Amino acid sequence: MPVALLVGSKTQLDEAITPIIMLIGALPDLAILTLLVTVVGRGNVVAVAISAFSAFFPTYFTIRQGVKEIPVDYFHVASVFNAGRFQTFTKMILPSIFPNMLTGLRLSFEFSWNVLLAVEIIASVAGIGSFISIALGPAHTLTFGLAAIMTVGLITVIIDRAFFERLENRVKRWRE
Amino acid sequence: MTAHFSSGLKTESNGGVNELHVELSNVTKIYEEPPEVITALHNISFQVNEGEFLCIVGPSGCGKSTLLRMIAGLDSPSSGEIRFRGSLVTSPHPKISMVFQAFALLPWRTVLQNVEFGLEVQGTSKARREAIARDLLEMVGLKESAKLFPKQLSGGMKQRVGIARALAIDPEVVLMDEAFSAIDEFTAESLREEVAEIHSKTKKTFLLVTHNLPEAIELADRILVLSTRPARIKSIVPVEIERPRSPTATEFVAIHRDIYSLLKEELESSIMRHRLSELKELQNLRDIEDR
Repeated sequence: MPVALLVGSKTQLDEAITPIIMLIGALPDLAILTLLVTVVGRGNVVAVAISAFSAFFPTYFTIRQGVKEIPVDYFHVASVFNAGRFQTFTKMILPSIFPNMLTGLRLSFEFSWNVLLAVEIIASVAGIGSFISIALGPAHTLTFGLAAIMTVGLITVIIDRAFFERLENRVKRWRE
Repeated sequence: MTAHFSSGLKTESNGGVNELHVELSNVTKIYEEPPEVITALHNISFQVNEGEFLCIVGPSGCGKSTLLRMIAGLDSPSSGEIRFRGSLVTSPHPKISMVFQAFALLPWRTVLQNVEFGLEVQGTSKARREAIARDLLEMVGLKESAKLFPKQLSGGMKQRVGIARALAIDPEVVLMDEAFSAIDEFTAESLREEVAEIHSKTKKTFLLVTHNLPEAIELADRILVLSTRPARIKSIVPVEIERPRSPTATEFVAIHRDIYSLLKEELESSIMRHRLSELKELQNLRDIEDR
């Protein structure tokens, strides 16, 4: 997030960094995962790392876009009314990009959730993902497997509704 | 009107009515966008007295808004000096406030919170800044709209909020950048009347950039006429007509005619200059062809 904020406001930095980030983002997550498993081995660290890795990109790009879209007039308002750097950030930049941040985080959340399950299955890290794969595969307990899938879906929906949906509704109140 | 209101609007003055307030000396602004070097403003010098209403008019794109932005401390002159109360303006001054052409309200803040913005930044207590903001909203006729968001307001209402926000920090100088041009004419007229009233009530110094001549004549004590780019001061026209001013009054019409002919002359000569340079270019091309 801090990187995205910085990049959004400094064009030169953006031109230097964003192509690299785009390239890294285009790398297939699951292929990297296999690589990591071979190099580092299986474990929670790998699962969390790869899930965080896939979560980074949607948030990065939406925040970067958000900062770029801040009208220059808002910066003038902050200056004219003598807001310092910190206040410009907290009272102007952050609220300006909040809707974008929300979209980014929502995407990241869904992304990393999916990737996490895949990681658990591929790298057989203990977790609901590996539970599903075992239940549907070697254990032949289809009902457990399906129940687990439903649970994952339910959790996603609940978090989405309880957290993102609410915040987005607040944004809708003021956004044009 | 409550106590907060008057204290919120009172400007500490040193007693002198005609005191020098804002002073520009030899201000030049050059933009360098390689390979081009554009001189936007050339050697602009003028003074604004305390409590004066000065309008700046000129052909569009002549750098009027740049001039205002420099006084606001948002931009700096390439050479020359801008002084406020004798001290150099290099960054935004807490006693110089601004009203923006496109309102520039922060959309996630309510009307009240927008008006409070400047005070909030300064660290004024919540109770006090709310009281000041509410009084100002009442003054601009938006008392009932305090809790609305900007998107729920019409253009005229938005600019009322913009004006209230500018006044909330109790500025000595209010800069207005084409403040009435993004509003429909009928609303703009009533807003101008309100601004004239605020000016006469508060005795703050107002600087308004506009391309609307009748607007300038209606409001100004003096009108600064700028030339086409690079902008120089073409003329400074005093408007000594009693207020409220009617656009059909003889003096009003006379001043309008004078400034209009100044601007027209300016535009025509600039068009001539432009044609001349085109002709020269054409001649150059022919010369090349001939060779």
